[in-house]
Amino acid sequence: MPPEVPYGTLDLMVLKTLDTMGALHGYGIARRIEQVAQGSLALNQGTIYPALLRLEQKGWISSEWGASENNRRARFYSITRAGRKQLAAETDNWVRTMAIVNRLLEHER
Amino acid sequence: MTLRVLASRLQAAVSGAKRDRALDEEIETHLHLLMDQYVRQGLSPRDARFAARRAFGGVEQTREAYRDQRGLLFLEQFAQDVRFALRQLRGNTGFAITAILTLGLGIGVSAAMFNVVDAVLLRPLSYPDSERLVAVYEAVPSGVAPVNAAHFLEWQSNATVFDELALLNAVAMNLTDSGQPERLIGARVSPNLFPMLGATLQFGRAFTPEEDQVGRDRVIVLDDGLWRRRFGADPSIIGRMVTLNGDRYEVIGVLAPSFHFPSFEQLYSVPSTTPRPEFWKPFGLAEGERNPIGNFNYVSIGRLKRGVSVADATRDIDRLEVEIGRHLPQRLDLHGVVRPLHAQVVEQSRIGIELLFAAVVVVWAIGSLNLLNLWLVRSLARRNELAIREALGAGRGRLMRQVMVEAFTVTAFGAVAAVVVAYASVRSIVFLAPAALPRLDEIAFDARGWLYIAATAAGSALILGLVPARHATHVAVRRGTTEGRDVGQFRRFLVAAQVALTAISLVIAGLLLQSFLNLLAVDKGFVTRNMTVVELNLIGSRYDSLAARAAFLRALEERAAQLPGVSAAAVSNKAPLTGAGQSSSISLERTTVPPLERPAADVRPVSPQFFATWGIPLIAGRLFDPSDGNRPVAIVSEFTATHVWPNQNPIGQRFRFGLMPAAPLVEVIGVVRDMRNIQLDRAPSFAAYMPYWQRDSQVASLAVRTRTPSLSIASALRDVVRSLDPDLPLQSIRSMDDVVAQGTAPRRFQLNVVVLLAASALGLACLGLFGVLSYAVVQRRTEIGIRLALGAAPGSIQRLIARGALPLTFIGLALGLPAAVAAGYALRPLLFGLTPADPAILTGASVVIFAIGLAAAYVPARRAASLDPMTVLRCN
Repeated sequence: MPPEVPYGTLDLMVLKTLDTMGALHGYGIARRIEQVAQGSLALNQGTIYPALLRLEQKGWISSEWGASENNRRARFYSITRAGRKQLAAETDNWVRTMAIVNRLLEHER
Repeated sequence: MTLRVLASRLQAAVSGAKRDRALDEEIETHLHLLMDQYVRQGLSPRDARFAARRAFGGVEQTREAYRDQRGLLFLEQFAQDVRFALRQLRGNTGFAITAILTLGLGIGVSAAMFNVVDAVLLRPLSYPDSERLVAVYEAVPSGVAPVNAAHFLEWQSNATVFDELALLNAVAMNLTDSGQPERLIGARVSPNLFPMLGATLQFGRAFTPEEDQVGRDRVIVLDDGLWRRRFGADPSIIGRMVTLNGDRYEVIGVLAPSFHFPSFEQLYSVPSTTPRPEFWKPFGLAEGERNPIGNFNYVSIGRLKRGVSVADATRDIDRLEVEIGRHLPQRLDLHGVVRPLHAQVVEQSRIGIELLFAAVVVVWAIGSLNLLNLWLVRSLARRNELAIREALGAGRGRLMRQVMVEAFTVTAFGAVAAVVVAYASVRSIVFLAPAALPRLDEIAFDARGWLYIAATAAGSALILGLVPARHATHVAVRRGTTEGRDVGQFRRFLVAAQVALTAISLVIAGLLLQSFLNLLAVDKGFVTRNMTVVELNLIGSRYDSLAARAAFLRALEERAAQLPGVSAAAVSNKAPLTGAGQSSSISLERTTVPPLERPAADVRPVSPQFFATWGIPLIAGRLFDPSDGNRPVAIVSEFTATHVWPNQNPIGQRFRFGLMPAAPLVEVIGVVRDMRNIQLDRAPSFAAYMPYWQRDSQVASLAVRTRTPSLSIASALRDVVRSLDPDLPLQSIRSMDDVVAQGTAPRRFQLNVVVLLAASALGLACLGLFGVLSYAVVQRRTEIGIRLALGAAPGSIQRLIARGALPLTFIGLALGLPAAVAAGYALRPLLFGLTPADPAILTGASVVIFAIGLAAAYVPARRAASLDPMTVLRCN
C-alpha cells in the first residue's frame, strides 16, 4: 500500500507544483503531484481542496476563475510572493531535517 | 461536536452558501477532467466515471473537510481579534477602566432598578390566578370607603360574580407571655382567605369554618417572620397557647416564608399606616359589628369567576349596594367599587418607583454618551492605522468585525462588573427602602435581572461597535488628522444631549427638594420642639371600662407632669402624625343632610392639658374642665366651625357624633386652631375633641414637653408607666422629631436618591463637556497659534474656547428645560407647594448648567492660552 500523504507535506508539494508550473486548477495540481511521485503516492484527489483553501487563507496562493480544458468553469491557483518565500523557507527546513536524519541513520549502522 | 466544527457551522450560517456552491462547481469540473483522462486511457465512459470517482475519493468528505477548514479560519480570526482587543485595552488602561466602570455602573444600577420595577409593578401578585383577585369597596357620596360587615354578608349571599369573597381587617393585640410584652398587628380573616390566596403553611393548618364564630375563634396562625423572631423558630409550636389581650389563643399553624401579604396601608381605600399583619385569626364577626349603618371598617378581597371582568363585578356589586341602600332605615346612596388587587396594592407607589427608574436611566444614558464619545475619539485616532490596513488588503468586513469584537470584549467585562453591581445594589435597595414600599419582600436579583444585563450589554456592544466603525473605516488615507466634520458634529450633538438630560435631572431634583422643604416648613398647627410621645394599648382585664381607662390616664398624666425637666404633659388617644384615630360623622341636632353626606371628623379623646401642651391656641370659648363631668362636651377645630356652622357662633351649638338619631347630643364649648393631625401633606379637615373620660379609646398616647432636649426622658417615662402597670407594653417611645422624620421617610429616601443621581449626572455631563472642549483645543491648534502669533491676548483665547461651550449649553437647555417641565407635570402627585414650571428652579438649573459649562471649559481654555505659537506653527 503506497504511503499516505502527511498533512504538512501536501502544502509543500502544492506550493512547489504551482511554483514550477504556474497557474493550475485543482485537477492539474493533483495530476502533476501524482506524475512526479510516479505512482508511489496514493492521493485521494479530493483532499487537495481543503489544502488549497488553507493555503489561500494563509495568503500563500491566490485564485481566479477561468475555463478548463473541457470548457468548464474552474478555479486557477497561483503562488503569491509570500507563498514563494514560504516555499523557500520550508524547502530549506526540509533539506536540513533530511540531512540530520540521514546522519543519525548512518551513525546507527 | 468540536469547537472547530461548531465554528464552521457558524461561519457557514453567516457567509457560507456561496463558497460551498463554488466548491461544488470545482469538484464537478475536476471529476469531468478525470473522466476525460480515463476515457483517453481507453476505459468505457461508464468505467471511466467509476474510476474518476475512485481517484477523487469521497465527495462528501471533501466538502466537509473544506467546511471545517473554513470554520477554522473563522475561529482563528475571532481568537486573534479577541487577543488584539485585550492588548488594546491593556495598552490604554485609563480608557479601559473608564469604559468598564461606566458600563458596569450604568447597566448594573439600572438592572437593579429594573428588578424593583419588575418585582413591584410588573409581575402579577404571588398568588395562583392572581389576575382574578380583586378588592371590593363601597362608594359613598363623600368618596370610596372601606366595607361594612353587614353589607359584606349580603354580597356573600347574593353576588353572582365571585368564586370566593373574604372579609378581613387589621387588629392590634398585646402579646404578654414569655418576654417583653409586645404590641402586634395581626389580621382577622374569613376562613376562605388562605385557600383563596393559595397560602401554604409550613406547620399546622389553617382555619375551619366552625372557628369563624365568636367564642370558637381563639386560634391563631403565625407569620414566618413572627415565628422566627418571637418564638425562636420552634418546630413544636403547634398547640402552644399564647396570651393575646389577656385571652388564651392556640397556635394552630405557621405560614411558609413564601407567602407574601400586603400591608393594610395598601389595602384600605383611605390613608392608613397599618403595617403587614404578623399573625392571623378567624374573623369571628361580633353582633355589634353587624350594624348596616356605620362601621365602614373592613377590607374585602374576592376571586372572580373565570371569564368575569372587573366591569361585570362592579355592576353586580353595584346592583346589590343600591338595593341595600334602599332598604336601610335611612335611605343611603350606596355604590360598589371593584379594583384588581394588584393595582390596589401597587398604584400608590407607582409614580415614585417609575421616577427612580427614569432617574437611573437618565444617569446611565449620560454616562453612556460619555463612553460613546470617548470611544469615537479613540477610533478616530486609530483611523490612520485602519486606513493603512485596508489599503494593504484587509477586507473592510474583516476590519469592521475586529471593531465589533473590541466592542464586545469591553462590554463583556462591563457586563461582569454589572452583575456584581446589580447584586449589591438590589441588596442595598432592599435594606434602605422605606418599609412602606409594596412587595418589598419580593424584590431580589433574579433571572430577569440577568436577562436585562445580557440584553443591554449586547445592545451597548452593538452601538459601540457600529457607530465608530461606520465613521472610522470609511476614509481614504489622505484625509490626515483633521476630524471629519460630520463626526465632530455628531460628538457635539451627543454632548448637547447630555446637557439636556442633566437639565432634566437638575430640575426634577430641585422640584423634589423644594417640595420636601415646603413640607417640613408647613405650618403644622402644633409645636414639636422637645416633645416626646409614648404610645400604649390599654387592653386587658384591668382596662375593661371607660372609667378604668380614664383613671389610668389621669394618673399617668399627673405622674408624667411631675417628672423633673417636664414643662407640660397631656394624654390623648393618638399624638398628631401617628396615624388616623377615630372617625365619626357630625350630625346636627335637626339635620336634613343625608347620613352619608355628613362630614366625617377625626375625633380625639384628649385631656384639658392637650392644647396647651401641643401649643394649639384656643380661638373661642373655653377648654375642658373636670367639672364638665359626664355632660357631653366637645371642642371643634376652626375648619369644622366654619364649615358646619358657617356665619354662626359655634359655641353652644349641639350635635351628635355618628349617624344614629338616638346618640346623645354634644355641646360645643370651644374652638381651637386647625392642625395637620394625620399627615403633613394633607390640609386640615374636620376635627373634634372630647374629654378622655367621656370618649373611649383602646389606644392611648402620652405627650410630654421637656424644657431642654432630654435623652433620659424616655426611660423616666417607661418607669412611670411601669409604676402604674408593670404588664403594660409600650408600643413605642419616640421624640416628635422622630415621628416627623419617620412620616417623611419615604419622601426623604426618594429625594436622596434623586439628588444623588442628579449630582452624578452633573459630574458626568461636566466630564463630557470637558472632553469635547479639550479635543476642540487640539483641533484648533493651528488657528490658536496664528492668533497668538498675531498678538491676541491670552485672555481672548480663553474666552474664545469658553465660548465654544455656549452653543452646546444653550441647545442642551433648549431641549432639556421643556422636557423637564413636562416631566414635572407627570410627577405632580409627588410635588408639594409648587408648580412644575417653578421659575426659580428652572432658573437655578440653568445657572448651574452654565456654571458647569464654564468649569468644563476652564482647563482647556487655559491650555489653549498657554500654547506656544512657535511650537504649534512649526510642527504643523
